[in-house]
Amino acid sequence: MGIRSIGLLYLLLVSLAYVWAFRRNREKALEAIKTGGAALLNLLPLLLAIFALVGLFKEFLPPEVIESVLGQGNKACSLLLGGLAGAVAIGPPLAAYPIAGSLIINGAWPPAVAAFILSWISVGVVTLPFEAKVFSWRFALLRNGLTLAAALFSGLLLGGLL
Amino acid sequence: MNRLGSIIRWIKQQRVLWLVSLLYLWAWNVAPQKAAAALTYGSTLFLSVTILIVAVFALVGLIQVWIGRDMISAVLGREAGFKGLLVAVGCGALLIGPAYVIFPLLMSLRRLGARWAVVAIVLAAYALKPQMLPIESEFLGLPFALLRGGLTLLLAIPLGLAVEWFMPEEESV
Repeated sequence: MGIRSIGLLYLLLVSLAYVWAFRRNREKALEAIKTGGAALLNLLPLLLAIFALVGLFKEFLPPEVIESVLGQGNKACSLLLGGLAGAVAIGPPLAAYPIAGSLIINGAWPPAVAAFILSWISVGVVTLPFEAKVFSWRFALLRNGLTLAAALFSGLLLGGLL
Repeated sequence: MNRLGSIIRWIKQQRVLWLVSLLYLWAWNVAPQKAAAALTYGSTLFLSVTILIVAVFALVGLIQVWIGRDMISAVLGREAGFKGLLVAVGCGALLIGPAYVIFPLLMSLRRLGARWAVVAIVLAAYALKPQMLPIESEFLGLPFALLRGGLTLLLAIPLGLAVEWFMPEEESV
């Protein structure tokens, strides 16, 4: 499912919820729109900055660079590099699988590849400022740090189980 | 005067925006074509998620105005016990779309009484990506994809509890 259709699906569901809300209580529904709009306006400049940053990463740190970094070195090093590369990498998970696949074909260590995918999906260095603004720096750093550690750990376990 | 003050406060708050602008200035000097491509990529990506972002914030408003504190605390707060954590794993696993889009949604639940572990567990279980399983096994093999998914689910609750353990018990939210 493309990102646009996911967006439309969300919009459809939320619109249905609003139809229900307006029928139940018009004033409360209007207040909900106002509350959501204010939250969006508050975060909009930061969102714009993050997307601009994503573009910079994509252009100046393309997947090929990550691939060449991950394809070499010893095991412990490649595990750590896999996790870190996944953390700074940008893009939908859909883009991670082909890269991971080619890493395995080129002889990368499977645990490092697993750590790479896991941290690609759930650790976000680029979105860190946004996460911190929404939740707090403490939460954002804790969650990303511990998730990175969990990604390395699962990578190792996966390598042992495969 | 008051208005000027609020403008200055706003400018101070947008540190990340100014930092990124500086990075673009640098990129423009080093490689103008790459900088332009980066900007194009970023704005295309932003436009592609606009609908999603609008929908999510509309939902944030609805949840904040409609759903009572009592209900959220009962289902996702500490009093919900282990069941609340399982609900979080399910929600995270079934979630689609980019994770950062749901940050504000999770924070609105947190403000209404959801515990920190729930927030962190949803974000951890989110890495399951069941809808991507066919693609993942295509590139990495079915055993790899299944094991990775299984480990993601197993570690979600310990990870969430670990994050919560390091968070202050009662902070101003």
